[in-house]
Amino acid sequence: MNPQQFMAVPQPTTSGIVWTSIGMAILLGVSIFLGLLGKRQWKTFDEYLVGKRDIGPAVTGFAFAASAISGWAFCGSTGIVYTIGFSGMWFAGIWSLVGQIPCAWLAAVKTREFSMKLGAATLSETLGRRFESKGLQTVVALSMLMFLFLYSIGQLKAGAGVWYAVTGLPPFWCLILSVFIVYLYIVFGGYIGNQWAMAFQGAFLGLVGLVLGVAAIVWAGGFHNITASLYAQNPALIKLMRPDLPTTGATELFSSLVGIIATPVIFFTMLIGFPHNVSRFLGMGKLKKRDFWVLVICIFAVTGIPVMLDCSSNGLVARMMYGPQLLKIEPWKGDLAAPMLAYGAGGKFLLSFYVMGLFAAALSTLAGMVFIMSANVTKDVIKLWRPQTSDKSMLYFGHFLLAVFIFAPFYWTLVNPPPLLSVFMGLAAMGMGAIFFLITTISYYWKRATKWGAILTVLYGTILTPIGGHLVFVKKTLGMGTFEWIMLGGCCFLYFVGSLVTKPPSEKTISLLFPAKK
Amino acid sequence: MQPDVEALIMFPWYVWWVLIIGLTLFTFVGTWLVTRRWPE
Repeated sequence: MNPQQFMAVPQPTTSGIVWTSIGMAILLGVSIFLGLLGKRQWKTFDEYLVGKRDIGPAVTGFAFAASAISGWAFCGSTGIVYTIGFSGMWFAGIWSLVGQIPCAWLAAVKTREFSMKLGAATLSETLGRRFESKGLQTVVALSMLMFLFLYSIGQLKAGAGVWYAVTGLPPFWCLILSVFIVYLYIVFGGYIGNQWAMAFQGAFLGLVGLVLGVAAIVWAGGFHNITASLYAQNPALIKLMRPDLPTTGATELFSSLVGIIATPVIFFTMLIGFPHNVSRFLGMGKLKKRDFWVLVICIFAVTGIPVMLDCSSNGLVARMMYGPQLLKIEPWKGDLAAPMLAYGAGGKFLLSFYVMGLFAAALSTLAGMVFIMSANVTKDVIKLWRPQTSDKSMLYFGHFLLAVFIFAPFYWTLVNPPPLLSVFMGLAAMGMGAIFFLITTISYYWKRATKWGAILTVLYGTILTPIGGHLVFVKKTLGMGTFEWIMLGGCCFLYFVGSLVTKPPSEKTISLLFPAKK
Repeated sequence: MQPDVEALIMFPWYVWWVLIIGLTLFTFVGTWLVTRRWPE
C-alpha cells in the first residue's frame, strides 16, 4: 500500500488570531448581555438562587445540554477517537443521550415539584427536607462541594490548550477575561441570568457541533473513505474493541467487554446524577405535555447528532487528515484533533467558530458548577445552621465564594494541580454520578429511601473515589470500567439495604411528596 | 480492495448507524411513552 499523504499541521497566523479573537469577543459579549438581563429578575436571596420558577422549556433544555457538555466532551473526546480509533467512541460521548434524555424523563418535573413542595432553593436543601435531616443536607452539600470543586478544576484546560495552539498566544488573558465575565453575570444575573447565558451557549455549541461534524464528513468524501484511510494507517484503528491495549487503567474502556459495557452505565449515572445538570430544573416553570416535548427536542438538538458526530466521526476524520502527526506535538497531542480538523475542513472561519463553541461548552459547565458550590456553603451550611444570618450577608459572602471557586480552575489551568488533587480529580465525575443518581433521582420515586441509606452512599462514594483514582491512574492495577461497577454496585447496595433497615421519613412528608393516585 | 476488506471497513459504520438510529428512536419513543397519559 502506498504511504499516505497527510495535510501539514497549520501554524498560527495573524488573520487566524484576529478571527478567533473576534469570535471570542462575540461569544463573551452575548453571554454577558444575556446574563445581565437577569439582574432585574430577582429581589430576594432565594430568587437569586432559583429565580421565580417560571423559566421556559427551551431555555431550560438548552441550558441543561450546555451544563452536561463540558470542554472535555467538546475537545478531549475527539482526541480520544483520533488517538485510538473507532473503539474510542464508547467513552467519547456516543452515550450522552443515554444519560441526558432519561434525566429529563426522571428528574425534570420531579426536581421542580419536590423543591417547590418542600420550599427548597437548592438541591441539597431539597434532599435535606425530603429526608428530614439537617445533617444529611450538610453532608450532601459538603460532598457536592468537594466533587464539584474537583471536577471544575479541569474545565478550562481544553480551552486554554486550544487557544494557545491556534493563536500562539499565552492563554492567561483569554482565560482571565472569560472567567471574569462569567463571574459578573452570575453575580448580577443570579440563577436566571446564568440560565439564559447557558441556554445561549448550549444552542451555540450544538450549532457548532453540527456544522463541524457535517463539514468533516463532506471533506472526507463519505464514510467509506474515512475508515479506508484509517485501515491503511493501522487496521486496529477501525476495530470496535482494542484487546491489544491494557485492560487496566483508563484503556479498559476500549480494550475489554467489561469496560465497554460500563461506558453507557457511566454516562447514564453521570448525566442524571450531576448536581449542576439536575439543578437546571429547579427554576423551570410548570410543564405541560407540549412544553415537555420542547424540552426534550432542545436537548436532542444539542446532544443528539452534533455530539454524536463530535464524539466519533470527527476524531476519525482528523486522523485521516493529519495521520498520527498531532500525537507528536507536546503537550496537547490528541487535544489538537478537533481544532485542527476545524481548520482543515473549513479554514480559519470554522476554526474560530469551533473555539467559540469550545469556550461555550467549558464556561457553561463551569458556571453551572460554581453557582451550586457557592450555594452549598451559603444556603446549605451557613443559613441552615445559623438562620438569623441576613440574606444580604449571604449574597455578599456568596459573591466572594464565587470568585474563589472560579479562580481555582483558572489557577490550576495555568499551573499543574498537585499530584494528590489529580488522583481525586480523575474519577470525580464517576463518583459524583453514582452517588447523586441514587440519592437524588431514585429518591424521587422510592419513598422507602432513608437518610441513613443516603449518608452511607455519600460516604462510600466519597471515600472510594480517591482510592479508585490511585489504583486506576497511579498504580494502574484496576480498570476504569471495573471501578465503575465497584462504585455503582457498592453505592446501590448501601443505599437500598441501608434504607430498608432504617426508619423512613415521617408519613407527613411521604404523603406530601408521594400523594396517593386518584 | 478485497471484498472481505470492504465489509471490514464498513462494519464499524453499520454499528455506528444502528447506534445513531437507536438512540434517536430511544429519545422520541421514550418521550412519547413517558408523556402519553399526560393531559394536553
